[in-house]
Amino acid sequence: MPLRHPRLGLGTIAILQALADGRPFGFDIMEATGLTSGTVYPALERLEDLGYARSRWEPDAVAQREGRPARRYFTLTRDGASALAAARERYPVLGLPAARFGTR
Amino acid sequence: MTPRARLGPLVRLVLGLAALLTPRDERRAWRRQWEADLAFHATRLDRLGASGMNRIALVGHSLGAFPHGWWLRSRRWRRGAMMADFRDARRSIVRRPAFTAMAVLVLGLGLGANATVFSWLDAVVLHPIPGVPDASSLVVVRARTPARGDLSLSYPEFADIRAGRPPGLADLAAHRLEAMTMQIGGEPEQVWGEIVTGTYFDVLRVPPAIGRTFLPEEDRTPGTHPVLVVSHALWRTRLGADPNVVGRTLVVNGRPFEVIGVADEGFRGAVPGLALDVWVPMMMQQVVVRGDRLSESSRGSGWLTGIGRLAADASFEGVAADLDRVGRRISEAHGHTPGRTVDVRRLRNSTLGAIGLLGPALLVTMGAVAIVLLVVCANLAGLLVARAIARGREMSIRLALGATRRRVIRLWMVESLLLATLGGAAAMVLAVWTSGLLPFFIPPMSLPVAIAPEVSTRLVGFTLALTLLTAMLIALLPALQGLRAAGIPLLREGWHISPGSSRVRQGLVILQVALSLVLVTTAALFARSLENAGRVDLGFSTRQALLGAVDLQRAGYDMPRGRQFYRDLLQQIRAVPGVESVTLANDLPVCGCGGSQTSVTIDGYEPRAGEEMVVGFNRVAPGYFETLGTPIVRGRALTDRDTPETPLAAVINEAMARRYWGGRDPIGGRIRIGDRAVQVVGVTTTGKYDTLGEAPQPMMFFSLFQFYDSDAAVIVRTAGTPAAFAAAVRQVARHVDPNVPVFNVRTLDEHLATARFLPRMAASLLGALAGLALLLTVIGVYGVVALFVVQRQREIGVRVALGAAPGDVVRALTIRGLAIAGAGIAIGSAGSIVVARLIDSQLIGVSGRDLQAHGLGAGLLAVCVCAASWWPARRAARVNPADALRAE
Repeated sequence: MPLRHPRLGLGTIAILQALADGRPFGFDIMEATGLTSGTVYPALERLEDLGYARSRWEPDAVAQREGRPARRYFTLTRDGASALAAARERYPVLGLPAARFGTR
Repeated sequence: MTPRARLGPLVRLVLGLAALLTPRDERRAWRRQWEADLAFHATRLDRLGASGMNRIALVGHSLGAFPHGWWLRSRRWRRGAMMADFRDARRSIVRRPAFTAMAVLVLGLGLGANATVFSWLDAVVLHPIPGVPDASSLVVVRARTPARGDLSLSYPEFADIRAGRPPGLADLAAHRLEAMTMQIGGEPEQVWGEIVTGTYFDVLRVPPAIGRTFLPEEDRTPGTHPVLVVSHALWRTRLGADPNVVGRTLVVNGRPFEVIGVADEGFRGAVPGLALDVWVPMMMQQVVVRGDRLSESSRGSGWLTGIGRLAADASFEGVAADLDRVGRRISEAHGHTPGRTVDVRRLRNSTLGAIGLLGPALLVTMGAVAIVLLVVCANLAGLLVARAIARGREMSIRLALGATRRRVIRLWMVESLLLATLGGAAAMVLAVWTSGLLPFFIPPMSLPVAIAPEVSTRLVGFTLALTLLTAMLIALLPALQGLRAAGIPLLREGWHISPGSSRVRQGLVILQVALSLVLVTTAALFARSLENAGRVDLGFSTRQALLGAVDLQRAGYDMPRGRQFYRDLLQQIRAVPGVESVTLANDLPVCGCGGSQTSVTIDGYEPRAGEEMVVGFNRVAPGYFETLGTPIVRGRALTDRDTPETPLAAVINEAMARRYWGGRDPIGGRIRIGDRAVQVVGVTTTGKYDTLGEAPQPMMFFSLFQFYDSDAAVIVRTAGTPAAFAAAVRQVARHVDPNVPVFNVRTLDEHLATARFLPRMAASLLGALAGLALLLTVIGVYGVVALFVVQRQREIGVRVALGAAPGDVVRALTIRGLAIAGAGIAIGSAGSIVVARLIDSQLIGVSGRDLQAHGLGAGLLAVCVCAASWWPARRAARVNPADALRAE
């Protein structure tokens, strides 16, 4: 785990926020942040490397029931939550609502 | 429809292409992720309707797969295997400082030597003429006959060649190196320059920095336009960087010349290796060089070198063929030696200046240092193989934990690359430091030598490439051996006995022995050559003598006054106490300058078909043979009685007498030179006239008073240390005429040292390199045998315990060492013979196949290898069998 929070770009912070808001899937995050898939997917990988997010695959049962392949989804970790808090302090202009923090 | 099919062909294509970017082992999961997400999105879009737009949007989203895949791959690089390998390599290198230091040192020396010699080769042969663009399209044009190549051109000959040149040769100029006396306010001083034809600067594409270069009308009529161009350096240092230098008058050889321009900075003339200061037009020839060398009657005297430039799309071979035809046509039309034609070569293949003097020696040196580097590589590879075996356990663990064989090899490559890179860095430092040493390898000459090897991008590129090659060479074998060792099942700790690796290391040592033998034999050949150089019968006495030179042309002397000067000078020097005898000569013996030749016809001798009647000659003053100590065996020497009024006389040497008169008495024979007839009055012994290694050649000696020349060397035989007489001789000359300085005063020993310089240099340099290679080889042999002993410790212990005498053990191991030596010597001898043939031309008095040298080399190597294997063998014999059996 990183010892201190490396500086994150605004796009990455937005993605963290989207995760915090309960959007685990790539396309949902794309819609919420307005960023393209070419930005979102690598950023999610990076967040996972940093330990701010964790990735899992949907349970097969759910996917089979809906007749589609299982998707990979991301959740915010505790470290990710604190990184998001630090980002809010660094960029007050973002005005991120305090109630949105916390893991699922 | 399957979920994948629902994505549509375009999206599937995009994903397929992007998948190629993704690291292989992550590909399936990655593809699943994308297909799942896209499928979900596609379904949702379909449910919302407007499917046409949806398709496009979907493709747009899928394009993000490319950066994602790329990101994953670059992450692999960043934190993946390569970095881990690098960290591992760095750690293992740091953990063994002694080995690393030795390896880096040895690599640095090997690579550094190669880089240094390359920089020298670059300066002398590859980029010999600074300041000239596109030197690769330059060609050197001289003449050749069936018997000899590389002959000078006469001016009429040059003019005809230029007039008839093929379109492939864009233009042709001629030049000749000359020393001149220049007066720049005050004392006359010696400057070196060239006498050149009008298009010289155009052919070389050297622009003037100030003013202009020569015009066509300045190249047309002799004596009409006394103009000259000076070098940038001369303008800066001696003319005060005067911005109004154009139009200034400089006195050269007593005549006033007008400065019309200053050459581009960085251009120092077209003689490789020299820095020249002034260029005078050909039409002013009579001021600079004695005699008429421009008119038709001078067609037989060659003194110029042509330099030309190929046209843009011309092929060298085509131009050479065309020029050959032109040359033959000219030579037939004017009744030259049959078969005389043009000798055209690329600049780097010519013998011009330093290229001819140093080129062959540098090539030999380059070969030698390359061999040393190979020995270094073989040596290090052997050591690394031993390391690889030792790390076999570590490797098998890695393999067991899932590393691929490719990764293990890569690990080794990175380590070798790191070692090689450190060595390469050390090499660059060494090269920068030693490339400045080239001047030490140039024989002392009175010419303005200026060769400056520089650290160029070419040098850096060469060193880099060589470093990479070295890294691969030393990495491959250890890597493969390491893998093999890793494959052996781990049964117990301790040494793995893998016969394969033992054979590989022995093979490497055999290679080192072979390469070292080649170097040692070559060094031995050069050493013998040097020995011969010292013992060669020069044909004259080398006792104390003082040499000097005078040039009456520069002081504006004509023939009668010149002769009188010579007479006065000889008389006055003779009067100096301690002077035993004094004489003059146009060419000094063993001058290395080529001497003078002329075509002759000899009464009573019919030349064979294709035989060239060209003989060397020297113009000497009375007392020459006496002063030099060359005996006259028949007839008489040249004396005071040989004057312009008496019949022309010549003394010939025994080689000439034998060739043209056979057993008959040559005295009284007549030699015709041009329209003059000379009578043979005496015969002298045959000596060396040009180089120490020359074959015996015919030679004629004329009286300097009958065949006047304004250039003369003074030879003074002294009764004490010659150097002590230098001042007296100079003073005498000043007394005769203060405007004629005696320059280049040196002792005969110093003069001969120049002649012996190159053989001495070659012998020492090669000796040093051979010694280095031999040392490495001995260390290599020792290492192999020592390791063998350690590996076989138990076996040796068992044998001794069962009653084998220690002597048997030693013998067995020494025999193994002999076997290695034998194999290496056999291979090396074959190599030596090949190499020796290549250097045959460089040797004096010994052929490349000299048995003594080859035998000495083989013997030396055999002794060294046996000693290197006997030492560890002795230690093995002293092993306590009980300890050996207990040891693991």
